[in-house]
Amino acid sequence: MSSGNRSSIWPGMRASIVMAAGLALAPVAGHARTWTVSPANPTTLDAIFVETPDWGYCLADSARASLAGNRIVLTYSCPSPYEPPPTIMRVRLGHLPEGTYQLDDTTFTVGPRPAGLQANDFSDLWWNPDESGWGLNIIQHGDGMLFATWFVYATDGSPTWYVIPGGAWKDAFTFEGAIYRTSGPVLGNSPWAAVTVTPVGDATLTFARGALAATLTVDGKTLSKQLQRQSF
Amino acid sequence: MTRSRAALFLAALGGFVPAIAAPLAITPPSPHSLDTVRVLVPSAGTFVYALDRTRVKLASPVNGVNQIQVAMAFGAALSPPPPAYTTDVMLGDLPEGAYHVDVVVQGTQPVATLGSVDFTVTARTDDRMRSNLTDLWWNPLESGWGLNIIDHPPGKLFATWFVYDAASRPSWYVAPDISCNGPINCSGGLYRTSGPMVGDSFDPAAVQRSKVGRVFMQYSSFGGLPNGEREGVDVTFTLDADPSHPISNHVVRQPF
Repeated sequence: MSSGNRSSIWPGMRASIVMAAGLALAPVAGHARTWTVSPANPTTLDAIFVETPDWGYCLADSARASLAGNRIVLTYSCPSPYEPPPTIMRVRLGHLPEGTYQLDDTTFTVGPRPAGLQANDFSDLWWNPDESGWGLNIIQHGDGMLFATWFVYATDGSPTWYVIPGGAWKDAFTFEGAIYRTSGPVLGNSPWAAVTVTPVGDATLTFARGALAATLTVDGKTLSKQLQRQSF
Repeated sequence: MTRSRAALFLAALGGFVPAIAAPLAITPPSPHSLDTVRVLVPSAGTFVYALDRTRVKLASPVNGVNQIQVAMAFGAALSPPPPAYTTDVMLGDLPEGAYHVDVVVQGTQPVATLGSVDFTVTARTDDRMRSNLTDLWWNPLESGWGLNIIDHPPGKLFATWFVYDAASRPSWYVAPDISCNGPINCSGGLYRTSGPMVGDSFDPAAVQRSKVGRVFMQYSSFGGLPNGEREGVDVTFTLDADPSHPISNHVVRQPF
């Protein structure tokens, strides 16, 4: 089996795209080296993907991206031209600063964060290091919406969790959302049965001065906690 | 810190230079590609940062070094002054390369620079997942349970698995130290914890942790995934109490 690495510098460096350990790989003729960017008009809060019709058995998992000025160079390995090729190759570029970028023949622009939204991505595991054992997972999506799961313990000491599946930004610093308790089938049940969702309270999450002040009300009892990102 | 520029900005803010109390820093200090890189910006005097107006922009390279400008906006001045703090601003999941970051004050002319920092993003090593998996992963056909993954820069995954017990009560497991042995395969111990209710106080010493199994993950991102997915993870939970019946599922990032 031959193997090689390809570069996204195309076609100007076509001659150097293959650094083959065995036979050189010839790109399939007729495939323009253009990429589709998703989302089409990304902002700095969006994780950016690029995809292109594949012209060989190339592994997106092997992709490496580098940045030189505004030019993104992708390299990835293509173990063999003889395997059935996948139809689309997708690569996650991730979040990028505002600007205009060049990837092969494709130009795309990353725009500013939507007005009125926090500048940051608050996705992380938030905890109080003095209270190790419980935490608040926050995932922030490209539109700024937060989805939080709060993992704690029940009165009998067993692990339990609540979910804050959405809400609204009250201002640039404060997110408010309802807290729900769910119940459902043991995983592996087939078919999957409906989950019962019960509102039990409200959460106010205030991101300021590098920390998260969380006010969580469940079943009428209110907790106020200072949390920070969990670092390893 | 460019004192001369800051001095010019002094006039614009009515005579006060919002100098930061400490140098800027980058986290993680030695990032790899696709790590979420943040610049840590110390507080500036009595002012609070208006983070909703912060802009992070790619500028023209200088001598082969990528340039990023972080334009901070100031909100109201607080009285009394707040305790010193550090806020973080996400730069991105940056590609490999050398970077120079200037943190400036928005709207100043000439630009007032609060500080600068340099760093290099290197390639992910062979034992790193070749993506950033931080997200809530779910099976859209089984809404109600999920797998939250935090992809920490040292190359470890921290996962919490939200499910239900035999009595249909919500329950969770944690895999706090998942390692990868290649670009797509990761595994780690799975634990169940018990502890006191979270109240105004919480005693972490009362939390008990028991290893109950292992979690295995295989990541895929190329074509052929069902339903137009961009990425997927085949996840398998093996419980020590019932090793012959692993629980396997295919999860994708939860969209909104």
